[in-house]
Amino acid sequence: MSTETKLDRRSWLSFASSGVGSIALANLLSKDSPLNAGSISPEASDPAPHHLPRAKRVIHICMFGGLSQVDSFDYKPELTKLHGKSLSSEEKPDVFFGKVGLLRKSDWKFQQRGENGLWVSDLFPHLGQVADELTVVNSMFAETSNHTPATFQENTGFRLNGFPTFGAWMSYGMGSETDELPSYLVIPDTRGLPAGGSINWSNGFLPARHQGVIMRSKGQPVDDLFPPKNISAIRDLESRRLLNEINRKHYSKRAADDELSARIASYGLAAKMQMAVPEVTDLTKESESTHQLYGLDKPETVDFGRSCLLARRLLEKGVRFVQLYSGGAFGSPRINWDGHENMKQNHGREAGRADKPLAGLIQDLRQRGMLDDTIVICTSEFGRTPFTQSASDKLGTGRDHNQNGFSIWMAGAKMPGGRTYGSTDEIGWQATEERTSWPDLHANLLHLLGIDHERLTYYHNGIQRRLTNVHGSVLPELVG
Amino acid sequence: MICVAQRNHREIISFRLVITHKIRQRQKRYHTISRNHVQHSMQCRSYETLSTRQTMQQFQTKVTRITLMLCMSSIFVTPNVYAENKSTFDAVAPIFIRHCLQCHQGNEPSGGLNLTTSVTFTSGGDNGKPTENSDSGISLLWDRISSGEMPPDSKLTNTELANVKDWIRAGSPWPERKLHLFDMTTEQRAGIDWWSLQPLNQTVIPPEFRDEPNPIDAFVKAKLKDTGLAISPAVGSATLFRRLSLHLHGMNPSQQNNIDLFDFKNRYNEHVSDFLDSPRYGERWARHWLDIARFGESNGFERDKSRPDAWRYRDWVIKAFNKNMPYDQFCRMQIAGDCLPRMGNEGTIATGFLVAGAYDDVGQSQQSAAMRAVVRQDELEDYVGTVSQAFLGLTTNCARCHDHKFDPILQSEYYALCAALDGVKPGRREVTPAAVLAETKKQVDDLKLKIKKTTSQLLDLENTIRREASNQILGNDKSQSLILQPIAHWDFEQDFNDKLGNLHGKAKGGAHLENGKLVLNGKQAHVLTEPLEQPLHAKTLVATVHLQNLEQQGGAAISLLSNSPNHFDAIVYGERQRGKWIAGSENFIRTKDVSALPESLDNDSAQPIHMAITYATDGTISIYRNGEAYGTSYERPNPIYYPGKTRIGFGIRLLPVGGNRMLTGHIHEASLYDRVLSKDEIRSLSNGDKFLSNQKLAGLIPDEQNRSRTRLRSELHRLLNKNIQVQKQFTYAVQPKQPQPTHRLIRGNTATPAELVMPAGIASIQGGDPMFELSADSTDRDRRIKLAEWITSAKNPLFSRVIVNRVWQHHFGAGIVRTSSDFGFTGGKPSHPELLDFLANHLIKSGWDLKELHRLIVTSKTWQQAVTEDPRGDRIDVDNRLLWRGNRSRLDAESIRDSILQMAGQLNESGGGPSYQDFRTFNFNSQFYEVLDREGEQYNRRTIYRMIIRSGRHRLLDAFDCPDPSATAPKRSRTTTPLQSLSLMNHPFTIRMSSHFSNRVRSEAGQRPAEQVKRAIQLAWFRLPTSEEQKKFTDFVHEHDLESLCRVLINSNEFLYVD
Repeated sequence: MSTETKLDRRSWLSFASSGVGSIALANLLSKDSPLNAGSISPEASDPAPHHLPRAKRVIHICMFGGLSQVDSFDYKPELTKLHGKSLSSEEKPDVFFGKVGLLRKSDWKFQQRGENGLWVSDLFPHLGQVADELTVVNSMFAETSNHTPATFQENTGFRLNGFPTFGAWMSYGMGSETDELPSYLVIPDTRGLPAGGSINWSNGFLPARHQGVIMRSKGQPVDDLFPPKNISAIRDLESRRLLNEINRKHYSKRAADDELSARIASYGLAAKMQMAVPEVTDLTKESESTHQLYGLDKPETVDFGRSCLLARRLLEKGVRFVQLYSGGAFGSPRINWDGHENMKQNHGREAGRADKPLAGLIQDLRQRGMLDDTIVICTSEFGRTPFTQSASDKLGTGRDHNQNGFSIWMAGAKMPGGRTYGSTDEIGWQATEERTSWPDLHANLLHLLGIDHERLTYYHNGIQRRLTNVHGSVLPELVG
Repeated sequence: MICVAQRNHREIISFRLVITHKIRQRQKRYHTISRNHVQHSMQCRSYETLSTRQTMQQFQTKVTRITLMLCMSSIFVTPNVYAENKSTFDAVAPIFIRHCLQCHQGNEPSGGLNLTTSVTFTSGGDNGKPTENSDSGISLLWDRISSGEMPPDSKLTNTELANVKDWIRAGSPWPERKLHLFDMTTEQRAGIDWWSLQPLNQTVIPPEFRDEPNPIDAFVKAKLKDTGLAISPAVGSATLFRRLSLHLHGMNPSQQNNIDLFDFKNRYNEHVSDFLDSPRYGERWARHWLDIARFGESNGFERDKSRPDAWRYRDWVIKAFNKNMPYDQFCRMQIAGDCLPRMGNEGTIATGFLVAGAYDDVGQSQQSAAMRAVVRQDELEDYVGTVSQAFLGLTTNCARCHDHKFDPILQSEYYALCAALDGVKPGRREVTPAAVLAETKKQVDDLKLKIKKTTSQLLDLENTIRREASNQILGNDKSQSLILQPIAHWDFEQDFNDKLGNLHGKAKGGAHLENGKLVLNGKQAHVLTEPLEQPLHAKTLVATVHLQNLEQQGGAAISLLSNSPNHFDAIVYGERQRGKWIAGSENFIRTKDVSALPESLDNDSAQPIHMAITYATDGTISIYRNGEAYGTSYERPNPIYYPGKTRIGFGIRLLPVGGNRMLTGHIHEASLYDRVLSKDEIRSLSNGDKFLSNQKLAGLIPDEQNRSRTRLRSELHRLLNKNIQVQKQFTYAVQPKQPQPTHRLIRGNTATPAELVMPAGIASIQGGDPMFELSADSTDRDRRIKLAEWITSAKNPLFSRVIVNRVWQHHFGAGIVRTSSDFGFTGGKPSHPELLDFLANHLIKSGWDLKELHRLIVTSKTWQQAVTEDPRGDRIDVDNRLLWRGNRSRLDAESIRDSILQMAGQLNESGGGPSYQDFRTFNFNSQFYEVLDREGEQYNRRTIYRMIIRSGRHRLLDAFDCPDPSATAPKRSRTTTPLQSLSLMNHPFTIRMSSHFSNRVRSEAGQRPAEQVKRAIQLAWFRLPTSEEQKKFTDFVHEHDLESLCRVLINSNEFLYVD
């Protein structure tokens, strides 16, 4: 039995644990095919959990474009003092557009918030109100300051196309808690997909079922969920009934083939999904106060608010991994966090859309008792420069990409909140203390999910591949 | 000698360790190494051994020496003098290699102790000398190993311990031999003795089954015999037919009406030939190859720009399979087709393979050179990784940061391959076939000839007409000549209009009329007309000008201005020579200085001057001033001015307005002729004679001549309007650059280059010559040719084994080696090693004939087996590794779509050419693609002709495991998911095709549901319905409709799987 077979069985077990799923069915569904690629011994990857998990689901907010750390969570009083001065450095810093202007203080005031006094700027006043839930990592660094490879790295650990994303790995490693919905769902920004589109939620070399499935918070939520209107419900039902009969008859002469019965069962599961999706996407079932909590009552927050609320409803249903994009493609006018020209305008607008819904999400998860076993993580592919993107003697209004140091935050999974991990230099240019890479972060997220990142592997082209490649360390001080 | 060599080989095989340890332990070891980054780096450093090319050579000789040594020790009785020493060391060396060298070697060995040579061993490490006496009284080395402290991750067996002890007691004798981690395969890694790296064995057909007509069956039966299993009976004709079609063509058979299934097996070989000769074969097998080539038609990454010319590579692959191009040539061309002689454009197109993957154009255009260097290294990894996986089944790219952890591949060898491919960059290359170029040239020449002929006919006729008209009007007065009507004439009396045609002018910049003259101020003032309505080749420009300033430089009286292509012809004053007129042109291309007197108040320049310039089709240019030749005539190539793109300007030489391009003066009148006026005509004009209007002329000459004139003029216009241009063809392929010197990069980091590395192959692959003998400044051409030669050599055992295994995999669902792109340590072992080598040899002997290989496989009993069920077989070999039954296969994504189209009677079989684009695309800085279900014949081509956009994936195809085109996919996964079911039930394509399917059935079976059911089942399942099915389905059609039945059949397992 191959690695995959084994994992499949497990994931299908959980996928099918309620209703249709019996052990037998799980068995039937378990085999990719009797001719699987890997002839790997079952020891190649051992089943999770590898230790007691602290969380069982993740919601990942991608602030696409590059959130400025020095304007949000990385408080740098020294930068205020140096405002208008040039960077004192021997070498000219290497930045994406090659323009190193004068240092610029944050356009937003910083305040200590919550009981623990976490520094959060006025860019995120609502998140500031839940500061005690947040763990901020101020010492992130990336390998590239080019958006798309950096986003790949954020999601897959690699700079290149073709690797599975965190969500795909999680789906592969843990399966789903529901048989009604896919285990990995992606809610894109209502203004458009991020650059690279579906490459950003690819299953890479993992089997196709671990690919992220788009669920829109506006319009038709999932493609192909129902037949077109000219096929009546009764005709559709009768067709599926006939199909089931035909396939069962066909299977009866080929009873040793699990794959055939898995296909039969998959139609049953599809029917469940048809029931579940309209139900889960119907936000009218939520109370008025919940709507307000997520900002559904305000035009600037309604879009992202709906996405956040939908995400919570999906998690409640047992979806493992929901990825939420704050920001769409690059272009003009900008619809993401890529504040090259004018930080105040750009970040002001983007935060205005996202701040309240995010704070609402955390509060909501907390009051529903879900936050303790959910990881909420909010990241950006890289940060922004403490100096402006302008001529070397000019104080501009925009900031360039910064791969050397930036901030992300997490909440939930019983992490002690209201604290920071790691730090950058005095102006927020480079991570210095507790430098944290993407593989490190991924390793810690898996750790919280009860998975040893070195033991979750998949054989592909000569290598037992890992999400963390040959890198990544679990950082006890980070995860608490 | 041959005998010795063979014997030697066999000895090595038997010497090879049987790997019994579980992979988990290997994993554990691997993880221990990488648990901590610092530790990992240290580990990496210790791998960095034997790094220079020089040491590579030493290593290579050493390999040979060891081989010889092993051979000698096992075959010959070695002299007694060495016997004792050698035997004890020979027992210890494998222990060191297996358990110690991973850490204790290289420049920075663990604890400073290097266990590779006698010298480093005796000099010891940080904790002293291993031979030193110690507490135990034996030695420090003994203390460490006997206590279990070393090796840290495994335990030495008692025998191993005893052997070491004996060796120490014997005084630790160490003959002149350097140990290397690659010397032998261990529990943790492959050495140079790894099975796939050895030359092909000349395997013979098992004697017991020598009578089997097909050697494949002999090998398979021999293997099965040991287990007590036997091969299963053959499938029935219908299934065999369908299986053959799906395997060779990738879709359901289309000829089902014409084939006599009763006779199918009798004429099986003919059918196989037919299948292999069909163009559908190339389309199928090209798809398998494109998976390996990670072929996509867009860049991926941020902008995902499309590659509209990339399809030529796809077509080349299809054609290569259909032509049955020898496999070695097929591969040589993909690596170096543009460098090899006599390959022409095909060779260039073939290199599309190297660059078929994603390309980070944004990364390459960023400001930071350091970051660009990283992007380039990522590109090289893509090239090297794809080349070595596709052709060699080796994951050399694992050695980018350190020596390969599992296979005998040095880090420096990875960079040697990078060096071999360093000249590779993607780009758009012109591949216009020579025949197309020649044909175009011929067309252009023909056209020129026709123009010349027509022009001279017209001129002859006009001369005749003029003579006749002249006779009628002027009688015998020869002092004047009659001028025919120009195509445009401006008299500037009342307005700026053309008095003959539609080339009306518009005054700009203050140009105005005064007493029947156009007044120009030399600053902004000018007149521009409507564009030309006919092409102009031969022409005459005429203007009567009154200069207001003789010192002005560069203004023009009249100018013919074309914006595309950008050229002009003008009567220009004073531009290059003070006070003189020239035929002005862009960059003076049709300009020549004149030897004539400059204008001055001494001559008649105070009066209006009559200027004319004639341009003949043959390029002759003549200038006339007041009816007299001005300088001498000269020749320059004469361009054609096209309608719509050409205007006439007055007072301006060329746009934009301003500078010295503007004329100061008055223009009294101007004309434009579409022919060359004669000297007499011009003189006559300058005397103030008026031209003869067409209308008047027509009255004077016979109708016959009028008609001829009109015909010739329109014929000439038609010819001049013909714009023959070469239809240039491009392809997305390698755009070579001069390679830069390549350095090994410490830990793969571009900031830490180590020694220079020359282009070369991998030394541990036995048989070929990995030394390319190239210098650091060698050309891209030499590098890729050498690389291609080394890879595609018949002596390279991996090259033939890998392809044979790939073909096998697609016929049986799994390869003889199941990891078809990895023949290294982490890959699989062959289930039938003898058969694999037999087939590899067979392929080479056949001249790399892939169709012959297919024929051999599909005519075997092994391949024709039914998918039987046998609990005993399952007990012994549930995965069917030994091939005791057939394997059921599910149609892959493309086969499903193609077969549905086929079944619905909608398949458009036209092959080749640009891909169909089933998406809407828009640009928002990046390129975005919205995949749609497009209707129309062009979208109903086989799926291989779909434009593969990396971010524009097709959800129905994706659901059925169509791989992400960003990474090479040697084998597709096969999954079953609810989304798949939803997609196949509800995707607009299914719905649309169900309807087409039902229409086809109705047209073929008529209106009776019973007949319709029969036909539908036949088309979907290749059999007739059972009576039970017949009744049930007919009822269903009665109750619902035929479309619904068709939709059900598309979703049925009997359609999606073939037994």
